[in-house]
Amino acid sequence: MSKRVALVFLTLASPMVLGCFFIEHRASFWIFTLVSMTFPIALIALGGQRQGHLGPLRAPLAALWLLLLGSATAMLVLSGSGRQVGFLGGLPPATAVMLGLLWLAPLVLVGWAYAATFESFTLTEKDLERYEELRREQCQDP
Amino acid sequence: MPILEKPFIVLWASLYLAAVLLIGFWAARRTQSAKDFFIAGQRVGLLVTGLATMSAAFSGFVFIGGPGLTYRMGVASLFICIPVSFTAGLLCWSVAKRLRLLAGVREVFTIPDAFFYRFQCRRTSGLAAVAIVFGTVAYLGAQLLAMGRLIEAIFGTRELFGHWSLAIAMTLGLVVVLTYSVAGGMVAGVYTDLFQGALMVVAAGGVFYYAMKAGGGLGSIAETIAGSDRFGPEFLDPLGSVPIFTALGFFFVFGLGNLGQPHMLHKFYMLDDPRKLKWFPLLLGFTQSACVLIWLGIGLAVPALVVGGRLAPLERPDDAAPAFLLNFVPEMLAGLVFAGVLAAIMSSADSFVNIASAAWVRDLPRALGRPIANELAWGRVATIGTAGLAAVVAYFYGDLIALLGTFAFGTFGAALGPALAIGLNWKRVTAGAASASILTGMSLNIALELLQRQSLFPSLPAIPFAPGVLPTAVSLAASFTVLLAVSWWQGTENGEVQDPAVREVMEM
Repeated sequence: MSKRVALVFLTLASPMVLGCFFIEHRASFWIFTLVSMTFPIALIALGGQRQGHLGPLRAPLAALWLLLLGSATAMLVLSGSGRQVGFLGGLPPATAVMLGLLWLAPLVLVGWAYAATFESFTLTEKDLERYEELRREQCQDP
Repeated sequence: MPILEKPFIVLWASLYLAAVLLIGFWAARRTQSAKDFFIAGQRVGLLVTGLATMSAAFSGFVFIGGPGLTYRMGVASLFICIPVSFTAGLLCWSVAKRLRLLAGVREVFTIPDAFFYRFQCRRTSGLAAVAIVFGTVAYLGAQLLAMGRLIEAIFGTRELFGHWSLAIAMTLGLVVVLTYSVAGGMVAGVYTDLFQGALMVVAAGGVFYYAMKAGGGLGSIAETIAGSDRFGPEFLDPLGSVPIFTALGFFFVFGLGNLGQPHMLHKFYMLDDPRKLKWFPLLLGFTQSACVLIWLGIGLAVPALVVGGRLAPLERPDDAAPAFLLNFVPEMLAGLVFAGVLAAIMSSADSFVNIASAAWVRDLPRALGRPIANELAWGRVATIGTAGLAAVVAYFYGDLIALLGTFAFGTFGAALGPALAIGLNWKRVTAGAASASILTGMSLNIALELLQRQSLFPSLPAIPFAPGVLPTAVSLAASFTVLLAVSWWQGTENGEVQDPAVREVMEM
């Protein structure tokens, strides 16, 4: 998702969500689910891009998006499946998906992806050199 | 009063209060300038910043309100805290790096300062300051009220002071928070937050262990709850007990609303070296998740214990955590946990005190073109005034803690989140777009909450939302919509950032 794609998504998704809030229909639930899970990815893509491109963030962000969207879809499908306890740690499948895939898995993925790409992409030595120059200019300003 | 009969709980709470006061006096000697007072001199390391951010973000709501909410609505309530899986990364990628770099190249102490340098517009930074004042008084009020109630419970002041008990307990808590906040400003704030954050993580881990032990393990707890008539299988279903718009609305609001929480964002300014952001998402995400264990553990164990007849049904859902701690956790650990809850509340309260004082003495006067000469001295005065105002508001709206807290989170999220998260990353965003977004988020959030809860005009038609829609989700989506629409309409692709240093920071 490049910067432009993220912006177009955010621009279209925000009013779409607003519309969903007024319509009680199954399609509204699915649209809201899709948007809720994609919105954070679009914002990360917008903040994480450099010169409009995602570079090494592309793969982890795609994985995160699939994880969030897949988990939410699985929860919607599995929800209401009755007394099916004992799936994972004794919990029903939808709850196990919520705790395992929506909470713990992204926690590790996001933390790792940020640290792994930080010096090579997010804040490079070149950025830091320029930042120090700007700091010195700020100090010299009367 | 059962807690008073357990002396270790009183002892731990007293030791805790003494410790934060000592930190405050130590910090006071290190506070010599406005930069020290507002952003701890920008010389704080990763561990301190990370734990301070976590403890400021997680108030007593996670420790007391969370398990109570689970008792009332089942595991759907966890959608409020599940977004911690990605919010730390979202914060760092979207806003943290640029806020921290901006604080290095310009004199940026507050969130409205960042708005000012990004948009070069006093109206925009002034509107941000107004949103912060509104949200802070409500958020701080909720913390002070929760703190008062906890002190009442621990020290048994109700038996001593009757109907004056809450006022006296709130005053006691307020005096402790003010003593270290006024004396030590943000230096005291972050170092007490470090102590408080560590206490919260240890307490949460210990309680989760005892919750699973008391319930006979996760499998046994799930079997008991699912097989009961009182709770049933829908209690364990993430989408079973509330409408989808409520469950996923929590996820939407608490996932994205983090981008506008000034008490969290403010901490990024304090980091001594921007390179240390590298490990921030891991540190923040894992410590927040550790604290969520107390919500999950007590929230699941208490219904199972009630079904099993080992705990009487709760009169109020908020009694879930205190009832569990008093009956199923060793007294030493229970004391530590009560101190941890007090820590969670106080660490959020001190952040709000500091942010609000900055809004009054720095942001609003500058937005009006009349900066104050001695911000440090007036900052201390404003700290006392803000805390007093919040305490009065909270005392007279005493039964609305949850409303106040949710309203404040929503106000910050809807008013500030979109303009910061998109405005710092897209040069096309204009000052007009940011102002319109702040105004929309703030006013819509206030108006929808009032309309939804007002009873003075019963003939007013209800807003035709689908069942379960959260007003805060509406104001957040509306704020994003307005920001993006006005930016596409007004802005030019590269022409809306006037300060060359800010432009360079946005390109880094």
